[in-house]
Parts: sequence; C-alpha cells; structure tokens
Amino acid sequence: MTSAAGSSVHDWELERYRLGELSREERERLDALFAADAGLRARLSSLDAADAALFQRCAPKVFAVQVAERLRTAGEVRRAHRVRLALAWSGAAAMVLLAVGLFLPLREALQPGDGDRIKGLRPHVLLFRKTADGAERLPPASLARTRDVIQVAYQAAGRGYGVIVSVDARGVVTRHLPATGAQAAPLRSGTVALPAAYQLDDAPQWECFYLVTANAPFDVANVVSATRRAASAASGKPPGRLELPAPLEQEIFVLRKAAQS
Amino acid sequence: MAEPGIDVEGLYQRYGPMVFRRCRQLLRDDDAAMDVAQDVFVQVLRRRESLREHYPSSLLYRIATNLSLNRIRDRARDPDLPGDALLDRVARHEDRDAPLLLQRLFGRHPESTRTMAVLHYVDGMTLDQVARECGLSVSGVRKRLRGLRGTLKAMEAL
Repeated sequence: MTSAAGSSVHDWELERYRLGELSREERERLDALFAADAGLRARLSSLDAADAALFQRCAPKVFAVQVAERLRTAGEVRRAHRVRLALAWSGAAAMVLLAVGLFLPLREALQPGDGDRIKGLRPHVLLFRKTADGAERLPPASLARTRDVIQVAYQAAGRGYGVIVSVDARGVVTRHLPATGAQAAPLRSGTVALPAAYQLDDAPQWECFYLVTANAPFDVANVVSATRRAASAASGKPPGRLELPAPLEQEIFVLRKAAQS
Repeated sequence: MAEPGIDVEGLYQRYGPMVFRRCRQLLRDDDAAMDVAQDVFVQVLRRRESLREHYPSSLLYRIATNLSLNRIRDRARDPDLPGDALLDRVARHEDRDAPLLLQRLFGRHPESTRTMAVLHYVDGMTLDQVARECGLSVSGVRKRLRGLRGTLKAMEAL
C-alpha cells in the first residue's frame, strides 16, 4: 500500500538514503515510512534493478575510459596523464592523447584555404601517421599498429558543422571533434588538422572513424549514440553506416589494426 | 585509481546511477543522459577538491542538474523541457523561440539560480533544503527565486 507520506518522498531523497548520505533524522523518518509503505519499498528496490541495467549498458571500466578521454580531448593533458597511467595499469586505456606539438609541421602545411569549396565535393576525414621524419597520409583501410601516432584531419567541402568520432573493436567510442560541448563544431575550410594527435591503443582489428556533417548545428550526443548502437549491432565487425536522420551526411574511414605479435 | 583519492570507476559505481537518473529525469533521453553524466564526472575530476564535501551526492546532483539544464538550453529547437511550472510557463509559448525565451529568462541570472529554481520547483525541495544544497542562506535563495520570477513576469508582460 502506498501512503500519501510515502508518495511525497522525492527521488533525490531515495537516492541519498541508498547512499547513506542523509542525516540521522532524515534517515529515521524514511525508515519509518518504508516500514509502513509497500509502494515506497518497491520504489527503493526498483533502483537496484536500474543500477544493474546501467552497469550493463555502460560498465565502470568503459565509463572510466570515456571520462578520461573527455578530460584529454578537453585539453586537460596534465591531469589526464594521471588518469591515463591508472587506466593503463588496469589495461583499459583506449586511445591516448599526445602532446599537441607532435604534428606541428603537418598542421602548418595544412593551412586553411578555399580549395574545398567546390560544388559536389564530399566532406571527408583524413588520417596521418607520424613517421621518423614527418607524417604520411594513410589511405582508407590502411594497416596501423598499437602505439602508432595518428593525426585526424578533415575537409569540410563547404559544410558548416561537423562531428568526428571513432569506435574501436571493443565498442569504445572516442569523440574527436568537438572536444567538448553538446553541439557540432563549426567547420573551417581547407584541410584542417585537429588540435591533438592520438596514440592508438591495443584495441584489436580495426578503428572506424566517422565525420558527420550538416549545414546547421546538430547534437553530438545523437552521433555518439548512433555510433554505439552501430558498433553493438555489428558484433565486432566494423559497423558501417550510422543510422542518422537527414540531412546529416556521414563519411567513414576504417583503419585496420595489425595483430599484435 | 586515477590518482590518490580519485577512483573514477569507484565513483561511477557509487554515484553513476544517481547521476544518470537525474540527467535522464531532466533530459528524458537515455543517450543524452549518459552523455551528460560523463560530463558530470569530467567536471568533478576537474574540481576534485570539492569531493571532500561531507556528502558528495549533493555536489554531483547539483552538477548533474546544471549540466542537464545547459544541454536543454543548447537544444536549439527542442521544446521538450522539464515539467515544472516555472519552465512550463515559458515552454508553453509554443513557438520556435522557446529556447530563446529560456535564454532570456535565465541569461539574466547566475547559473546557480537556475539550478535553485529546478531544485525548488521541479524537485520539490523546500527553501531550507535548497539553501543547504547550494550553500546559501534561506533568505538568499528566496531572493534569487524572487528575482527569477520577476524576470518571468516582466517577459510575460511584453
């Protein structure tokens, strides 16, 4: 039976009750209500199932990796370094942000220009790999290795806004552009290198990059969730095209990963 | 452990469900809620010293509220706003300018005022509870909410 007093207990009170972060008086008040109110007890126990569903959806290790990636891509290099060390220790690191200066010559070479504003040209993502004496552009389906240092770049082909994400064979989605914020980044003309390079981790088989563009701002979260869904449905294979609403356009770049010796 | 005192996995296991549910309650979208929940933890890691608060759930709940409201603000043409009376009155203008109206309403007040409004009007916290959550006096909270209502009335009079 659900009482009026039980119904008046707010979700945030239940959350704190479970966390043991209520004052003694508040806790005793809720204890009394639980004893008398089956509906309230059911609300409380339903949270256990909700917790389990959440951890099924996003395991703590994966969540920690994704949070660390956001810290890194937001430019929190110094702090992220500590997190990265911890994640490497746990064997769960995804892609690792590297010092911004690594690809400076490449970025200088890729100055924005108007050369991509040609009608009919499609936006696309470009990948460069650091070499001993500079950088080499990687064609689609190139073979890459763990610890290769990769610079992501794009050509907007006149589109106004874009999002770049990648997903690996473990299903870990990494957001490259924009580093933060809920909306797609305004795109610049020319071949534009992102501000940071990445070192590939030991995720096996492949890494799939997506450039999603439109002429108006759109939600990054929709792209991220579509990528997760596609990776999940692909069962370990490169996921292919994302299910995205028009007028969003997408370009895919698959990088193959060499087997580790 | 990310560093001494900061265990992201442990924090997520303990507080992640509460944060996710809070984001989902305001955003009404699982994917958006998970996205914002990650931002909540990023912000907490940046402000790690604040985790020494006696009850970290208060801090996380407040950040989750604030970032979810930011996400709602950023939805350019999405009128799917939280269902409290204050916000609904604005949302019920039922035109494509709803986000602009919200921006005009909240843009004149500190972000913390917006969070207080949601804690009070949406979550049903008393002024005393909101004051404790936000580290202000009850009269300070009352003054902030009065100012917000004043802005809303002025907008409605236009």
